Amino acid sequence: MTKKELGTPYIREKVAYFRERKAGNKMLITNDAGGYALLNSAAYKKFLAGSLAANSAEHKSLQKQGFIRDALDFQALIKKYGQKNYFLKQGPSLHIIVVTLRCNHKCLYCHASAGPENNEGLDMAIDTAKMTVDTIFRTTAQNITIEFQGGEPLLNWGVIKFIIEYSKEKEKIDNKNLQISLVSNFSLMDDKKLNFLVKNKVSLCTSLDGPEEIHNKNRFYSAGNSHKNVITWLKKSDDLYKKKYDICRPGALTTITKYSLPHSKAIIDQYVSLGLPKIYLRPLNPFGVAKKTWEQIGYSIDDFIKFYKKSLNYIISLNLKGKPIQEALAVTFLTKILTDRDPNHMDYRSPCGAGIGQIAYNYNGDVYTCDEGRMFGRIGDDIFKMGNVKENSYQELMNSEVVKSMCIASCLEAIPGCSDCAHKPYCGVCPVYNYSEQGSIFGQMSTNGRCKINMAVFDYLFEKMQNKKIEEIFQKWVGAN
Amino acid sequence: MDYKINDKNKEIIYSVNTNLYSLEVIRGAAFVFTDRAHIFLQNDGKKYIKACIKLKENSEIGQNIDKKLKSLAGEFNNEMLNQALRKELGEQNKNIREYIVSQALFGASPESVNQKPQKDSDEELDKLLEKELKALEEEEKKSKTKDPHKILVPWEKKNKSKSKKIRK
Repeated sequence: MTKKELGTPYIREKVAYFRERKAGNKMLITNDAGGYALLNSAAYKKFLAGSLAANSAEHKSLQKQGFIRDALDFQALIKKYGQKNYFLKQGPSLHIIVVTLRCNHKCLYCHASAGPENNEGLDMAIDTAKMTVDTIFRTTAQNITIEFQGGEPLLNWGVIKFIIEYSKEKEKIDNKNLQISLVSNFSLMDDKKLNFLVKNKVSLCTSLDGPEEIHNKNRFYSAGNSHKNVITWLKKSDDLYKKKYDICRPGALTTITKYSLPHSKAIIDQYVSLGLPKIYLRPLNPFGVAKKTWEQIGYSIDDFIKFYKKSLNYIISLNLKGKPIQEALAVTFLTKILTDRDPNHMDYRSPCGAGIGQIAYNYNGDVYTCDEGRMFGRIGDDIFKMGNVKENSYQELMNSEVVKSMCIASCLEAIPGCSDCAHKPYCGVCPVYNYSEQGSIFGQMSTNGRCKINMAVFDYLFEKMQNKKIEEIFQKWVGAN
Repeated sequence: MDYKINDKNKEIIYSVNTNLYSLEVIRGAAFVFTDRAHIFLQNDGKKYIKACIKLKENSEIGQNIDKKLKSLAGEFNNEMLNQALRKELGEQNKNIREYIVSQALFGASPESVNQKPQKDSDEELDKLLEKELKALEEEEKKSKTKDPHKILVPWEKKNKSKSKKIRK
């Protein structure tokens, strides 16, 4: 029976499952496999009524994306769903090692809750480092990324060198694929260290909050000029990597504080002038020191959304003029929307990466579901602690209650507001954020600030991509054409 | 829609017919409004649910509170329509969605969806085993003694003489 039944607002035989949301003047529809379509009002009505002509471009496109129920290509949908969720079959691949909690900077938003520079008791010892690497290589994941974090990791250079050399050996013995990265403020970088890092193909990442005035205000360094160090070593390391490999080129992250809000153009221009291909406009997280300094540097969710849209507009305008700078969050979301791939961003997947995709190892061997979870441990709340590398086996760590809880709390299929959201195939929740802001790892999405930001970014991307020229730029960003 | 506005409490109250909208749909709509208002639901006879939408204290009301409350009630009604559509779509397509997800996650791995089915590789394995068995048989035929350790001789034959002796 193909006729519309009383009380049924669509033709059952023609319409496959979809979620919907207004996107400007159009209706956005998405499905489980991540297919999407932007339909004008007339086409949306025809789609629901099952009256789109079978040979029309709209019908063909909807059919290809899996929205026409009586013409589903099951093999294609199964393949796409599998590719989009491939991470579910992997083990933890991202392993964050905090080799020291000491830091020589006093950043206003310090998410890492770093400790004083002279307290060497906050350094990871060699035996702890060895046990940490041994634990890491127990992972079921074939591809392993070890990321050095701090504090300022270069303050414990000896342990960094040991971990790099030891893990390279383990890579060969255990037949895994290893990548190593280092997140540093570069203040302690020198030629010897850089050559060692380049030789071992360690990719580098730093914090660059924009022009000198903004950067140094956010990232206070009493022993020198933080901005100058970053620029010097970013250029130097980029040149060296370009010469040697032209891969794993250094990158930078921006944290947006209240001081950054009026300067979106200047911040982006700083990145463009350095030839950096990407800028990540990260909102301030209410974790660690940022919770205490919120009055000074914080802002409303709406303020950030305004800033983000303004910045993205500027980035798009630069691209239209031939300057190929990208915004990292947009690239993550667009990869999920426009391609059959998933970038496996730990914060934007279902379930989130906590424990099952990433693990954070503190200087003393304590193991947390993620670096954000470790930050809570730093302020005396070990709710996200999985165990300790000296006391627990890999199996015990992975079977800990916290891993299971985080998994359940971040499964979008079971979260009110997420399960029916049109952005569900592309989004993810952060139980640590929920715990911090709403008092429970199970967040309430209708009042959740992170959800509001994600919604706004998705809405804006879907609105912008309705312009053909902008869509072409987005396609280039994700390598879809 | 029959409703009652209480300006003083910044709330609008109306009854929803449960023959038109299930409790699941009404709750779903109420959840969507939790950022804008406090929602109170209670039974109103057997066929009705009384919904009270009360503005939050920090709500921007503007000059006309009646207009604001009526608008909110209208949006609530639209959201119930949306929730009803969602529920129906979910129920109608449940089996198809479960089939796709189960095939993708528990069936073939994403890389092997387009590969030949398992049957082919089983057949190849059988052929290989047959080939190896034949090679073994040939080798056996070539050997001078077909059964050097008398493995093929039945146990009774091997022990015939011994067993007779025991019986004696």
